[in-house]
Amino acid sequence: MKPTRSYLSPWIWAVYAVLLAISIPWYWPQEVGTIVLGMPLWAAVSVLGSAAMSVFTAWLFLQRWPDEEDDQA
Amino acid sequence: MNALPFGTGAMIFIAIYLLSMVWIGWLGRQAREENSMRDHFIGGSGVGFFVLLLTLYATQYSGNTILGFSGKASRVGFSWLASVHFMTAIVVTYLILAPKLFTLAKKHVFITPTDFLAHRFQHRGLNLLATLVMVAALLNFYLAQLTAMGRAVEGLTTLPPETAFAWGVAVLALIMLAYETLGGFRAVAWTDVIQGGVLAIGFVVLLSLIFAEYGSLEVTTRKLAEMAPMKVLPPKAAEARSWLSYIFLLGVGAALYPQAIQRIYAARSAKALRRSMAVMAFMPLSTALIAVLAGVTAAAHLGGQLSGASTDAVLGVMMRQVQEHSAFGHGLVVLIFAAVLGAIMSTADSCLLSLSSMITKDLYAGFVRPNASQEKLTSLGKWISTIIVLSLASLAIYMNNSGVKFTLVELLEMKFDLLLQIAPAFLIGIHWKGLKAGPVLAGMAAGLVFALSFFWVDDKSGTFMATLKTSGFHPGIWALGVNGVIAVGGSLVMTNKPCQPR
Repeated sequence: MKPTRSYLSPWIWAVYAVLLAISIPWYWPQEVGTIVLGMPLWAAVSVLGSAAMSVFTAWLFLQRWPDEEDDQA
Repeated sequence: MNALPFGTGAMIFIAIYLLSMVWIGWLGRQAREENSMRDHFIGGSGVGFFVLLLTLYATQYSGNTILGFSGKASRVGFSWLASVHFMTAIVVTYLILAPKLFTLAKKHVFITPTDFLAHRFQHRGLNLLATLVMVAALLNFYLAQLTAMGRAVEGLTTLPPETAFAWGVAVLALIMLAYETLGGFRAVAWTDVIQGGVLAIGFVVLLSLIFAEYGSLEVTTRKLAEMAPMKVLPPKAAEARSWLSYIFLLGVGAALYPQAIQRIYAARSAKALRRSMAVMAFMPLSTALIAVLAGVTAAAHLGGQLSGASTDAVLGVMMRQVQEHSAFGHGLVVLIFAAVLGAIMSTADSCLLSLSSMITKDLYAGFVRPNASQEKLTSLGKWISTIIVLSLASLAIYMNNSGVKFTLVELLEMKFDLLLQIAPAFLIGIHWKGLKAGPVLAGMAAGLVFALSFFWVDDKSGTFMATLKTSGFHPGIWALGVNGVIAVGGSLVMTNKPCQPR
């Protein structure tokens, strides 16, 4: 395959993978636990993870969008 | 939204709101640059940041986001936060697709998603199969939006529910057809500005009304933890896998909706597109999250008032309670109803225009009359829209009255599983020159057959397929695995195959 483009670098997908791993509540014990932001802690962490993903995605669109794409496809 | 008895004032407001869309359709016609398919289906030179953002938003968030998401959250509780993630994943998928696709679309004047495939692979079989998949998925989606229109109107009048449903579908579908036939993409995008604006405001109002009526989220969570702890507990392993599956299935599938791809084509500039996408990344937090919180609140405070499929009406029941308590709340409930209508119509009109563009350009001009003039094709597109509206509105009314559900309609409910099978052609094809048409077509066909075959698998049969079906991952994900292996593996084999001496 061709080298990955700057806006699709592996580190970008590594960040998404980490954020996803934190956001999907697979690692929590089966208990309600503390309530944060009006939600159970696991739900609050998931929402904050989603918010972080939104910020990261918006940043990529604004800062990493290639100036001029060539017609490779 | 069941049982919301609106007075004359509210009905007049809704009527003006709906008629303003026809007026916008007429304005769209006045703004027409030329009588061509590009002008009708994509809006000529395209739209700027503000219109693009609101048309992306209104198209992506349908009536299902408000009614379906809140209903599902009332059934399963906080676990439906998965929806916030898959709505974000759609924007992440655009990150892979949009920059290159936008440049290609401007350079080669694309109108439909198949235009990209035709440019990239130059394979008529692939064009045909991909178009049929997209048309099938959209027909189902459009039928669902028509049904949602009928449901939204059902509780507003004193008419019997079936009659109100039929009138709701007929009147709203005709209004939509009128403004779309008049102004094409411009009318759809400009009405999306109103619909998307009302939708965005409606969600904020909804959140404030809920907190004012039922108390803080913490009160709700504590009450729910006592009443139904399962709705507050974190998901178990199988459900967590299901989260991941939803994120991939809907995140990629919904980004490949033809009307979504056509909005990338319709951006006036790269700057407008990337700014719109950057804002879209936050919309799940202001839309899907609020719908989930509304559903969770309903689960805690409405108790056993609703069960099963009727939980999709939780929002209607909550709004009726708000409405009964104050005149101010009454006005805001009318606004939320307008937001629901806007959400449904803005998604449906985009679907309709997209369907008509693909049938006209990809199927008719692509396979039947390649030399037809732009004027004739544009006119045909409008007739196709009319036929789709009349036939699917009749089907929606018939299915509602008779209770009959056709197997074909049930099959098409796997629309995301099917749409996902065009992903390699778009997401890999746009970045990797080595991807070949033959393996992509073979992979797509195999993926479709594999995904559809799950429909007939009995969950409890104990077979290999049943194990896959009950694994927490959707059939479309497994099928995409098969599809991807054939598409990429086949392309690699073809690339490495030594040239035969002549």
